[in-house]
Amino acid sequence: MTAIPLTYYLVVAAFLLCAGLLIVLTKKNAIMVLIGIELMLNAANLNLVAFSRNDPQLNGQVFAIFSVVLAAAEVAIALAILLNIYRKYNSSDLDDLNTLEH
Amino acid sequence: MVLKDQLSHIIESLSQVGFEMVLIGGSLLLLLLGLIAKRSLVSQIVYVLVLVLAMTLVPLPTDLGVWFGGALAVQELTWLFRLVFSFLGVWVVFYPTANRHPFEYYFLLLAVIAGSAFMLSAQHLLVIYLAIELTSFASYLLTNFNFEKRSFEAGIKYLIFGGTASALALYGASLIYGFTGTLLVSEMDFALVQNPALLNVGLLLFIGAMLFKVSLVPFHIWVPTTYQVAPTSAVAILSVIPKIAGFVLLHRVLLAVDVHTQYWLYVVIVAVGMATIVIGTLGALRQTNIKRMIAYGAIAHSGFLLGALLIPGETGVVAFAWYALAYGIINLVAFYMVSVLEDRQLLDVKDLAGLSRTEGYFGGLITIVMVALIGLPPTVGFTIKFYLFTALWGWYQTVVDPWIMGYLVVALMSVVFSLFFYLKVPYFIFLKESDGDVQSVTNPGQRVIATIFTLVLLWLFISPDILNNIADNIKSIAW
Amino acid sequence: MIELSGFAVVLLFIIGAAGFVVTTMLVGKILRPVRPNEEKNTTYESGEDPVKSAWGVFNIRFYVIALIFLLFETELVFLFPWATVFANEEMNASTDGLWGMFSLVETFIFIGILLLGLVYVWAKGMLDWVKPKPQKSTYRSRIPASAYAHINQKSYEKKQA
Repeated sequence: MTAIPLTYYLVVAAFLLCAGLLIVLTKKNAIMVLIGIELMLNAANLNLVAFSRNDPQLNGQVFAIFSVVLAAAEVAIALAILLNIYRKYNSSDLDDLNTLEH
Repeated sequence: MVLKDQLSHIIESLSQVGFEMVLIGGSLLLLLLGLIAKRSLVSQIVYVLVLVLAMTLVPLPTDLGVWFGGALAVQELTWLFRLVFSFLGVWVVFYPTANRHPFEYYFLLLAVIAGSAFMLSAQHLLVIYLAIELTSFASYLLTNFNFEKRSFEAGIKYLIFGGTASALALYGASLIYGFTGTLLVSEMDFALVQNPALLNVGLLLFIGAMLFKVSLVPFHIWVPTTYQVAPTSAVAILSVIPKIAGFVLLHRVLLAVDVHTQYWLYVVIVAVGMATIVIGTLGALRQTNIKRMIAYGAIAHSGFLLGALLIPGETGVVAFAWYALAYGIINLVAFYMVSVLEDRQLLDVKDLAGLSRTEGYFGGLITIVMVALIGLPPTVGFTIKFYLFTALWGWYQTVVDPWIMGYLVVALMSVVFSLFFYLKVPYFIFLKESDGDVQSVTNPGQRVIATIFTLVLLWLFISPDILNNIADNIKSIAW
Repeated sequence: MIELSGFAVVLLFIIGAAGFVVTTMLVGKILRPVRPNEEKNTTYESGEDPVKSAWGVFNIRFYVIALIFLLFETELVFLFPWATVFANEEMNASTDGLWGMFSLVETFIFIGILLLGLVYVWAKGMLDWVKPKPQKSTYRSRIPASAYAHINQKSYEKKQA
């Protein structure tokens, strides 16, 4: 079986990273921003799994498992804070969070 | 290695991480006890006991080494800062707000300290990532613990910024892994890579995560907001322990990359450091909120700490260790004063006008702390800055590098500028007259604690035995 | 045997996935009785009425339970790789059974920490399905209840317009 060249995975991962970063930078809704961060993390996971093809110990895949779980934990924290924000500000729009001085 | 040997190696390694194991086990115990005994005092006692027990389990500097198949490298700085972290962590329970926090607060503080402790020795990309994230997650949560409208705002801002930085760092780590073929920082050979452009991008992204933890430009934006609204005792921990741990980690990574042979990275690091000092100092100049002012000051201090890491060899490490230790103590004392003032809603310097009429003694103590933050005698702040500048000057004379000279000039200018904002506080307390009535701020207990805290700053200046001991211990072991 | 390239495998996966979805939906379409009514045609939204913007506030218990579920569910990822190797006889034999003990203890610590999380959530009352408590009014009216009964019994005749 001829495998898919490594470059293809890297290109997809780089695309995911850029898409995620673009979402983080442009979207105003906090949930969308979290989705962007999630995309960026998955870009890194794809990279790790692709690279671990050359690693007999599969270190990259183990790393990816850990980062998936950490991403879930991060989202849980973010949503818990967002729930409180929604209660106090009645909005999940990041532009509305402007009570602190700059 | 055969599987059997590997397993026995892991079991043997466990004895070296007693400190971290006690912190994690103790934090879980605290969580369980907190559910049974609801009083905050119980969790404070458990918190202190866990830290003290952990301190006794720090392995001696005589058996340093590499454990867990290279994943953890226990070095001199690891030994030193494990002790320092458990020592500084205890101070939090003396803060006037300590009784108001639920037991989860102390659980999260222990998590921050445990994550930072792992950062001190982590040498494996996965362990580094886990340690940074453990510290970060606990910090995100701690930011919210005043449960006000704006604390949640600061919390989500901190989280989104940190999440983006760590996602980029993870991507960088994946590139490093791909190009070097290993996750162990010590085994990476950056010189072997044929076409290092992508690897360098990965390296920069990865270092970004550490810059975020130690609040260096351009990853410093979260600092003023977070420090302003987070509970002051949490800020005292967050501004000291994860920062020092992040610098130790950054130091290890930069050593592995061999920053003095990779000139471009060296220039980037120096530029980041200078920008940090400039932005921290200029930002602090226009602040009237004391917490925000010290936050910007803490950014500038990060630049100084980075300067210590630029000096290779023993001199640099000793300068760093001294600066980190003294900075930690000064910051904890400063935030103690802030938290006493905050308790009476006196956070703006204008509110402090005429305070000397009722609180002349406490005002004097605050003045000493501000002098220590600037770095003038007779406080330990002078000792560390003087040593750092001497070391930088010595290193400049060896290499005659204009970057180092620039760093030195910027740092000196920052000290001059910092006179203006730090001395604003004593200026308002002693020289301004207030329009209205001045209330008294402190109670006798707080004055005693504040006196003890401040005396430490003076005592370390007068008899720097501890500092010399540290230097000897670091020097006696081959670096 | 045809030589498959990596891309062909991916293509087969996509076709297989699409085929699976199409087949199940087709089978459902053939087997189920079709008796639509208004309630059935609305969007399914976990028991909430699908009116207004979807960004509105749902009942808080949905979020909390979902968050807790998310955390415990993802942690299970760690158990899958462990389950494939922990009872490996070859590894056990080469280490005189140390391997089995080692992986068992490790996993028990891991599950123990998870259990502690569950205990915390439970003790905090996050798992209780909050029911609205009917509040009895403490207001005491001066008009006796019998007066209302009297009025209710009275029959009113519609006035002719």
